Amino acid sequence: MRLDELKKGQSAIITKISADQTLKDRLMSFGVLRGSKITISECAPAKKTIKILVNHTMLALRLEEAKSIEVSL
Amino acid sequence: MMESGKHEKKNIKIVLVGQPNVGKSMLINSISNARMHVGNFTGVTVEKAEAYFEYEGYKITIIDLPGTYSLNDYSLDEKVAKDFLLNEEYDLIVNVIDSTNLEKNLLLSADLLELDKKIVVALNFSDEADKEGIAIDENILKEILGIPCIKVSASTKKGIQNLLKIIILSYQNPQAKSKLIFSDVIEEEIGKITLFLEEKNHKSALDYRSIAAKLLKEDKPFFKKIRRL
Repeated sequence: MRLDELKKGQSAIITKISADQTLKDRLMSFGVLRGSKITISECAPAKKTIKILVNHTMLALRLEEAKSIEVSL
Repeated sequence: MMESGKHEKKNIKIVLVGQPNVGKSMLINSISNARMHVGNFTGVTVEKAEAYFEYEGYKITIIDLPGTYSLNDYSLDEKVAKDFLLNEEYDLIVNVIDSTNLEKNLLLSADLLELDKKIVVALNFSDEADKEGIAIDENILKEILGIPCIKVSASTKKGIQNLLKIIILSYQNPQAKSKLIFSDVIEEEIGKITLFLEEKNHKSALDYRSIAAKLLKEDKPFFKKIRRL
């Protein structure tokens, strides 16, 4: 499943990131890597933006970006 | 390449690198008694800033680079940092790390290890980490990374003298061999390319391992460089 399908409070492990190289590198520099545990900590109204927790880093992602991250529960 | 034992050269150029908001500018102020602008928000340092001071007969220049999460050129200030590290002359990198967020900060350290330069890690905010109950063993970290790691606190100036001592020592001694190891698949390919370069007796200032790593990373500036040769 994809990261954007997770609900607030759910955690999953990243299995694949299919973003373009620029976004991939950017995500990698924050520790968003294959095998990392990711938790959705908040969702903005209409779920346009989500707040995620990876390791000890909190990040905001656009839903579009979240769609490129595949996860497994 | 070897600079050990050469005492006639008394100028040391240090470059401070770290992720945004790890207290790089504050650390410079603590070391050199300079008055650099420090703010409680990211992106205060957009251009590189310099400070000078003398220590044990050495004239030391410290260059403060904008905070960067990694060595990709994602934003302008990250590009400033990356270009400087790749193209300018300097003696030593001080990688400033936020002790309260070690894991995230080490991602940049991994990028820095690839540069194959002398590096000293300054574990900043060590007093904050203590307060939060985070215990970091500098010696084990040093073992793993293969580079000196020193706990400091820019605000209380704790560890600053020790950091200076280690900086001078690293400057005087030859560079430690990089302990950066990639995943098995990558290491295998590095081995193949290195072997190929050895067979061809390729001449380069860079060692074969770094060349192989750069090729596999599809490092654009490096490809441009070899195309010109």
